[in-house]
Amino acid sequence: MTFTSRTRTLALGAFVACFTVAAVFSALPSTAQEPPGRRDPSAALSQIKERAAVAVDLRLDAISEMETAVGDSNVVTEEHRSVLLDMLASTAAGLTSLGETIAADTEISEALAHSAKIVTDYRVFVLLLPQVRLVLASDGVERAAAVLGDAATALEAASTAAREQGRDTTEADAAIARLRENLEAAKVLVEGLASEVLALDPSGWPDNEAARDQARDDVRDAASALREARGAAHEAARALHAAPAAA
Amino acid sequence: MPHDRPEHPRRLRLGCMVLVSLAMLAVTGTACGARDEAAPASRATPLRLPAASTTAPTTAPSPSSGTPASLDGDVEQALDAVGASLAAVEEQLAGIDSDIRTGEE
Repeated sequence: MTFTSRTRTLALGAFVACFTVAAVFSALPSTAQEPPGRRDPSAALSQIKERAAVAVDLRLDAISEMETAVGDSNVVTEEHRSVLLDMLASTAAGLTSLGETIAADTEISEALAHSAKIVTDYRVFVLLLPQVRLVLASDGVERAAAVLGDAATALEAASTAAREQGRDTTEADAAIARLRENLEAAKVLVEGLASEVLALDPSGWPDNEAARDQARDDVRDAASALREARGAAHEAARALHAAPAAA
Repeated sequence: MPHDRPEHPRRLRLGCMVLVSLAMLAVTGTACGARDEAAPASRATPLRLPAASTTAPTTAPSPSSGTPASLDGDVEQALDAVGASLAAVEEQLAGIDSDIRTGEE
């Protein structure tokens, strides 16, 4: 009798325990996958708006800093400065307007769709800011190349004068040749690059990602070539100073 | 009647087990609800703003100044300016990498 009652009690206890465990585990996936808006739509909408506002502000801040950099740059051409500032201002205006639209949204679906446009319509970090930087860098390369071109001309004149004085300029001339070679390579790499970069549009993403990366590699290679040219210019100058009299 | 006496503690035990189980269910359900509210907050972590470069490139001497560079002075000065310009170019290139990383996060 006692055994039977104990067995019944244990069986009932086991049933309750199994029911509890099953209830808990069956509840876990549904609550984990449930969208936040299912329980409280207004809270979910507020959360979406808050995140969108943060995303817009981050981009506006970055654009503002870049506007300052472009305005202060003394290597960018005036034509490029104007184009870049227009691009940045236009994007900032668009993002501001989009942020206001999202803030006024009353449906979660609308807010989500508009929030996605913060990224897809502007591509601020992956395209716009790199575009601006590439143009600044490209103009910097062209400016440096022009200065190095003047230096090369001066070195060639000095070499000619040294030869006329009967001095051996073989080493200096070789360095000047390397200077010219690297200088021309750098010029070719950035020729037309700014125009190509400025033509890239967010609507072309991600197809235009390769063009962005190619432009970045070209600017990097051009800068590397100019460093070589600069080193060659130093070497040519030292060689001219030390040029021995011809035998 | 003597039969009922031993049953009384067993019923009490059974009742306690049911109450404990229900309490566990209630506690677990509350915890799940709390996790649902906490999760979106962690997803709302703001994007990290990259350290955007705002340093203006160093001014390079005008190539159209018409002043012929001398070996001892102007060439060295021009090459120094070229070095500074190249440093500014490198800074922009580094900024591009930083921007792209931010955009991909």
